[in-house]
Amino acid sequence: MTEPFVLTRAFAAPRDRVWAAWTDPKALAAWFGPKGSTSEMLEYDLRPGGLWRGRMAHPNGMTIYSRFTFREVTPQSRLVWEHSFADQSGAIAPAPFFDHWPLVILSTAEFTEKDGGTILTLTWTPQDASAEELATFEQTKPGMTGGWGGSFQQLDEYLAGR
Amino acid sequence: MQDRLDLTFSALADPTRRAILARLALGDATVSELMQPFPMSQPAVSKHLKVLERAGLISRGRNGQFQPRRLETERLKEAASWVTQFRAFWEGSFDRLDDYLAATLAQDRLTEDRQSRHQPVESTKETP
Repeated sequence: MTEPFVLTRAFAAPRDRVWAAWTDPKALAAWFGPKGSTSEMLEYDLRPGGLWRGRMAHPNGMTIYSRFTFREVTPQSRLVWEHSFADQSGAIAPAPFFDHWPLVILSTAEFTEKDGGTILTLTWTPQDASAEELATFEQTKPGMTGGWGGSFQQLDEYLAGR
Repeated sequence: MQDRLDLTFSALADPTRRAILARLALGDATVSELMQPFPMSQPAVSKHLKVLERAGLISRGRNGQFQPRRLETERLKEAASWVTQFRAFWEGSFDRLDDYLAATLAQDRLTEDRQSRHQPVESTKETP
């Protein structure tokens, strides 16, 4: 069993605002995706079993379709979804440009209040991944943040720097 | 981590540097060997090598006066892994979310400010 990978980030905004930015498809389209990309939410059905489908124009010229399925929705505090790429019709598809990318990545976003701001913890674990995908996952982890400990250290540094 | 990744990706963004890496994948090579396929001056090639070295993509042999360059595969593997890509995706998104939140909060303050200036709060008319 692999341990999940964790990414933590502090935002200088109240929790209801951060939650709204995640759960209002219009707001989501304003920030979802790397710098220079533009996203469009094709479907956003916020309930367990509901779909979150998007189309993203990447700055490199590619169009990428995603298909997420919500597993858990706890207002203001927790979102769990299965993260996948999709084809144009919305069916789950392998990653369009990478080898060894797991078909499904279980992702959790947790929203915690702290000093009037919000701490967001994003966790992900590959599902049904091949041995090779898992090996990449395990190999890459220690070099990056070392799981939980490293992420919190990173968060401390981030907060100290403010 | 993100800075290191930025350094790696920007080093990889140049076709000459990718060609140098491809050559080094065949084996270590000195600067003059690396120069041969490129219609470029030695300082220009050296500049590319410096960028690759700073990104940790190549290293320099300590032995001998020619200091052959060597490919460092770890950093390259890391940049190519899906975990790194996935992380970079979210880091990038979170930077934009930060900006988005700051902009909407500023907009709120502006609206509140305007309302309090132009529409003084009505007194206790509605109170039963």
